[in-house]
Amino acid sequence: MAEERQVTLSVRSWSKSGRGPVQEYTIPVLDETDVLSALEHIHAHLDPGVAYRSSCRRGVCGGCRMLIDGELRLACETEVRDGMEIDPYGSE
Amino acid sequence: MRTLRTGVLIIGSGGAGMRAAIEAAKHSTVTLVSKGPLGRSGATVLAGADVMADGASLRRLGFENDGSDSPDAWAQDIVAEGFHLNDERLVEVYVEGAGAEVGALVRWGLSVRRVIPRAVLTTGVSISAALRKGVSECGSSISAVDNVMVLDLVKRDGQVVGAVALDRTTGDLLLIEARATVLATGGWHQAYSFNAGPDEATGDGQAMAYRAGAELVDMEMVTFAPNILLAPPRHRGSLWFYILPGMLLNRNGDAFLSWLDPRVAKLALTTEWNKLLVSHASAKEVSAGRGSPLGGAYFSMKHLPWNVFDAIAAEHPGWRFQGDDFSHLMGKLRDGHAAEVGPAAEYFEGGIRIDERCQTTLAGLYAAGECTGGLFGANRVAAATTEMLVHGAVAGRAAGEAAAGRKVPPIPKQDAEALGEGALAILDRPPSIPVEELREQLRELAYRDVGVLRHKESLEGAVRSLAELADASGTLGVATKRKEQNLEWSRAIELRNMLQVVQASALAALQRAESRGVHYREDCPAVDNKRWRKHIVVQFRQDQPALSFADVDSRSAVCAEIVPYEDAIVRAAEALAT
Repeated sequence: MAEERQVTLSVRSWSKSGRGPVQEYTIPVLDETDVLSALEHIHAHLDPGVAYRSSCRRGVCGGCRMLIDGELRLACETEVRDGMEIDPYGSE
Repeated sequence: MRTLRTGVLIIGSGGAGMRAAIEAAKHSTVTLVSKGPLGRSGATVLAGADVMADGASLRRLGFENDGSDSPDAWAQDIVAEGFHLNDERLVEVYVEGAGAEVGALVRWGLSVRRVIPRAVLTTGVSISAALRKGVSECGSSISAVDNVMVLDLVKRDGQVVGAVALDRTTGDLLLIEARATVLATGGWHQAYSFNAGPDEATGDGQAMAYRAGAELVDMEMVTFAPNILLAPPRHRGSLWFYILPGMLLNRNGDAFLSWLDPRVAKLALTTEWNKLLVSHASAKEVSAGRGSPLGGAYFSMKHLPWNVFDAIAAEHPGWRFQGDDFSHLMGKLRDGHAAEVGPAAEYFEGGIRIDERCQTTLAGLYAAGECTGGLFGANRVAAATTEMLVHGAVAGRAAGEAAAGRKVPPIPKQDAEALGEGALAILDRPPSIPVEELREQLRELAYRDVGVLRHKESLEGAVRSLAELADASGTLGVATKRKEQNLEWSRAIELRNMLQVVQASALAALQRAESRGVHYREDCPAVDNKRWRKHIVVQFRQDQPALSFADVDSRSAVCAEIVPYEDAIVRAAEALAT
């Protein structure tokens, strides 16, 4: 049921000014992987400096609302795609 | 260190915290501190959700009901379901307080979808919204801060007088001086590699109470909900399949629930006893080497005729459940594919020991909701939503009254700084073994060895491994050195809490050489009422866990005999009034 593929994501890091540098990460993902799970993978395996807020992971609490390809969206409800630009603190 | 002064400090802004705030605000100023999103944190928004009250009370509130039920009849059921390990003073407070709490939620605008004999059916989102309305009606007497994580409680002369916290937005420490403190922090779901809880449920309240010297009780009792989705990643941990009719298959294609003792099979398939019975059956298949590739079972709906499947679809427009869209996955199931599911850590019967006023064993400290222990004994079937509401109201009132009549001297600066040192050291030390590596080790160990099926040898191994992990975590240093929004740092702090709580749980599970409720020991599969109808209490002494026993506060007599586990379940079910 699950096909593994590679995607490259650009993640803006946190900074006081709100415009930290952008870093690219390439990770393996399965079908129906959400942006939050992808960020979790990056934090756990590639760069513990990558930070984000999350709580319910089921589209209920609104805690993981962030800028994804320039739009405010819930990371847990957005399917990850190759080339996505993610700004975890972009809503503030 | 910035200092904030308040009457009542409430830690956790889920249902129990909000309910406590509303009640405490009648007597005192209140500060509501939240680690996650304010008023939307915790497990409350994820609840199914039913809010329970006895039939007679529901009828008085105007809900259709034959009224033959009573708080007493309900209490007897809760004790039977809890395998007679319940603290019956707490059961009485729960059943007596439930009706008023349903009434209060309705006044704050709860949307009730349906009424069943002992509950109103609603959603976690609606419960949460109703409580937020209640909080907002209190106006300026409740102030709230979010993204703030409490590190430790501050004690003076044996009394809790506030807490030291980390503002995760700025990375600064914060001292909160309070005349009374309420813990409402929920469970420790995240200590399990597979769980159905929110990210912030890391046992913070239990751990800080424990470090301050409070007693924990029934820590070995952990409920696993069966049929929780293991994949795809975006749906992992969702309870969606828990409410669908499916057939469970092992990797050989056997419908293994048909092997259940026929006396318990009906309970497993048609009642909330399924949490315990189906979780055990699934875990046994995995441990026998017959699990699915992801370590669970296959969940199939292929046995349903298409028109039956489509009738179910019609009841769930767009295949939406909570905030999730399951249409893609459900399309695959309709085509005959099976999903993979397994038992996930879902609810914690054990926790901080409280009395009938929700006071812990420490002066000045109260606790409410899932972070407490004792009410549901060895197995919760009745609603946790009602627990958080009743406890929240009781704890908020008790803390508010205590705060109104109490003066607390200022906390010496050095005391506060000493409590913040541990957290700051994690930031200052050179990078050590990665936090995530230790965290994953803990989570896998907890799920495997302190999980659905327990065994003396694996619990002994777990206790040893946990001690090693605790040693390693004592010298943790993070790689990310900024103070602000440092997830790695937060996780390192949470890791210590999860480790201490799982340690307490594993020690109690090892000590309890019997099976009772959700605690199932493969090496002693019988309920031993001769030796084990008693609580295990865990306390922190000289930086080490110390175990002791406490009698069950009970009015119900239980024959002091040893009963095979399945027989005990059948007997308990037969004793229920409904």
